[in-house]
Amino acid sequence: MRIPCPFCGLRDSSEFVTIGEASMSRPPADAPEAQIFDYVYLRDNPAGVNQELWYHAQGCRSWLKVARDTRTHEIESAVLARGGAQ
Amino acid sequence: MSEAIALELKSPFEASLKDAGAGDGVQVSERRNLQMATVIARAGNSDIAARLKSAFGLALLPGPKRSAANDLAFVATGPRSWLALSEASGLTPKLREALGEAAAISDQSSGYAVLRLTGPKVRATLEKGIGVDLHPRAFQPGDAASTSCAHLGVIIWQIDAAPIYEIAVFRSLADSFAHWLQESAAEFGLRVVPPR
Repeated sequence: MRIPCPFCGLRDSSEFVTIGEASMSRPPADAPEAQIFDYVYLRDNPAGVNQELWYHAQGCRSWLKVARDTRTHEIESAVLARGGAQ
Repeated sequence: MSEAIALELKSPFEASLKDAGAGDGVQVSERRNLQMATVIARAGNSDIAARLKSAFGLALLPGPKRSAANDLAFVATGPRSWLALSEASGLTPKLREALGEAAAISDQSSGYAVLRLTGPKVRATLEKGIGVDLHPRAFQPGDAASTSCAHLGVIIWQIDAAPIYEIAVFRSLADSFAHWLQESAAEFGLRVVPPR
């Protein structure tokens, strides 16, 4: 799988690390436990396009927001996550 | 008690980088006496290009490129970061004076080691370790890439169409990189030429 880094161009996925879904946002510190549990443990794991955060560790060291199809590894888009993943 | 310690410039490649194989397919030389610094734009600052232009006459190119003026070169390593290189002394203070609060500047003169590579088989050698497409249709003089070579982090840029490439590796990985280079270039012949 290759990821089209907006700065570096098309690069092998071995240059990147991922932390999974980009749709998560950290709840406030006083949020109810159920909401924290959801944030820490629960993922949608869709069969289809998934919004993910990838870090270009062996390249430009930017965080990217990548739309990847989990069935085909086809990548619809990859943009710099700077300014927030949402 | 306060006897001064004489610091001697040591080449990180002196002991490890040797000729390999028969032939003259790849020539390598170490760029010694290079001053280097990383330059990272501070959040919200976008006038780095203008400051470099007025202080050094350097036109900073967008994207993964090497921009150069006189003795100073800026190799882009990320959307807001560069590796600055110069053979003139006092690079870091000069950059601090020119860029002020616009950027975070860290001296890397003893952090990176730089090799200059050329020869008819240089591309055939580099493609054994580097995943980036170095073919002229994809990578040309002035282009730069931060990537890995045989699992070692490298910054590579192309100087001219001969082709001449320069590669910066972390100084502590110089032995490992030299080993990889010798093994990979042996079938074409690797020649170490004097440093420039």
